[in-house]
Amino acid sequence: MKYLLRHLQVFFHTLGDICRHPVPTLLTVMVLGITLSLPMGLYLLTHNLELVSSEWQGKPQATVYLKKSASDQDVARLDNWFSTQRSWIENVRFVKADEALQEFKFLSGLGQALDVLGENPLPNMFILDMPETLPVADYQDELTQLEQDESVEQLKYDLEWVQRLQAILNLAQRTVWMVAGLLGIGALLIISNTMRLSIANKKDEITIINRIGATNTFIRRPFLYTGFIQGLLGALLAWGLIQAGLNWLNEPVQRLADLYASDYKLVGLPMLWVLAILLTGGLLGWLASWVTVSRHLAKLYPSK
Amino acid sequence: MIEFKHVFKRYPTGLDALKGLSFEISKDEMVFLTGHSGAGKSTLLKLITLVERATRGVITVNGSDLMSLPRRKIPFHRRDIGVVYQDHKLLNDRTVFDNVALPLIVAGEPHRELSRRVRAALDKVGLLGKEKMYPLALSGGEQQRVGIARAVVNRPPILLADEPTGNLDPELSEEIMDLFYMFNQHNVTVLIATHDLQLLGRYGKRVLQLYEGQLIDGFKYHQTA
Ligand SMILES: Nc1ncnc2c1ncn2[C@@H]1O[C@H](COP(=O)(O)OP(=O)(O)OP(=O)(O)O)[C@@H](O)[C@H]1O
Ligand SMILES: [Mg+2]
Repeated sequence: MKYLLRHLQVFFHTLGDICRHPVPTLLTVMVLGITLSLPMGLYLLTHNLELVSSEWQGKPQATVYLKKSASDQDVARLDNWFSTQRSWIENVRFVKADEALQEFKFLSGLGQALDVLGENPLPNMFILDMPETLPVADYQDELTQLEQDESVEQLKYDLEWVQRLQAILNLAQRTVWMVAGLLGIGALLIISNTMRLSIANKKDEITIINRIGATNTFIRRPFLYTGFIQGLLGALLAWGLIQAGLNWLNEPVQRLADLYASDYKLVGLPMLWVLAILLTGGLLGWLASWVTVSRHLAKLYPSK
Repeated sequence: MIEFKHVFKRYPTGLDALKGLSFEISKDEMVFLTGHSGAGKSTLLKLITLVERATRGVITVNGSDLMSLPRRKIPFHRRDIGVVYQDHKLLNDRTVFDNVALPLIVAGEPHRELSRRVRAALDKVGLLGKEKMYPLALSGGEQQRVGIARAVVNRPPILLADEPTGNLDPELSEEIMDLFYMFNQHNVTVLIATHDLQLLGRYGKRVLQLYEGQLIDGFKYHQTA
């Protein structure tokens, strides 16, 4: 109980100290906040990229527009042929001209304007999904064959760029992970250096208190609290920065998502993560102070 | 109270600061330590507070054998010794009160005792009423008194001073020396390192004279005035 009381005393005394001289703490906290926010922000970026690319079924697709003249038998014949091509076709969807028009009206927002055309300008079509891992070259011949079929008006496919994008996303993700990792290490170094500097200013004070008969535990305690509080505030600031960044980006992202008819939303940090980050910030501050003060204290004791 | 037997101190630089010192200071005694610059006065005081360890010999202070005192016990050993420095060594960003209270806080004194004892110490050195001031706002003599108040606030049985009057004019020096004399009257063992030979004469106390790390036979200045 008495022990707890003493800890509380030091804790509030430390808080008081910080309030009395806020500038150095503010600077330290800002350095910590910004350094911590970089790896955290980058992590969020990859996390969001991952979500985008998985939500948006990054599968290669081909659209087979049929001739107006194509009969139901032609459709059945093609459908049959598709079912023999399972090695490169994952999924087949037949879209009737009417459905296609409805969908187009809805997505384009042109709506009734299209009614004046009288006749439906869209043909029947097949939509084919191809496996994303299969190289286009493996089914290039089949596509050519399909394109030349008598009932096919046009074959449209965007295959390479989907795969390229996929590859680019993978690369981007790895790069970001790497940079986030480096920035994380950088944050650690900056935190310990910041603590080292703030303790360097107090060397005389530490020496004097040591000469008066303070134990190492006693001398360390306020520094540990300061380190903890500064680390905590730094992590809090980092979180605030990231949240502000997310808010700032949210509107344009929403607009972009709307344009792609996606209900994609930017994800922020989950609460558990926030807690973990705050705690980590505090512990890092604590640890960095412990190491620096202890190293200085070791010098204060005599050797033979 | 303080006993040295054949004490040697060699610094890591290879310099022998103390060469075979032996002396004894009994309880409630007041002793002056003099000698030329570099004679080893500060070194001797540092051995007593375990800021430095002796290389060889036996040192006994207040009943404990310093040669075998483990590091973790050093803080507690230091609490029994008040030290006054030439340059005060005060914390300039804390008030006079906080500076004087520091040894009590360090020793874990209960909070309600603090105020009373700090005031008592400040009263003895004649600084009552300056508790809220910061050290740099005080004169040199006053700062030295704060240092003395801090050294005696937890009533240590031993009081050491390393040239406590080195930066003061003769009149102030006398006042400071009188303070030490007063504490000695109140059963504190006092050891003062000083250059100020003229001042010593007033008190008629034993003088240890160091010369190049060795003691010249102890002698006594007799009251002249
Ligand atoms: N930490 C140290 N490392 C190496 N040599 C030291 C150290 N401290 C003191 N010395 C040397 O030991 C000798 C005695 O020094 P000390 O400080 O004890 O002298 P002093 O009598 O207090 O002198 P002064 O009157 O100038 O204060 C000097 O030659 C000094 O240079
Ligand atoms: Mg000296």
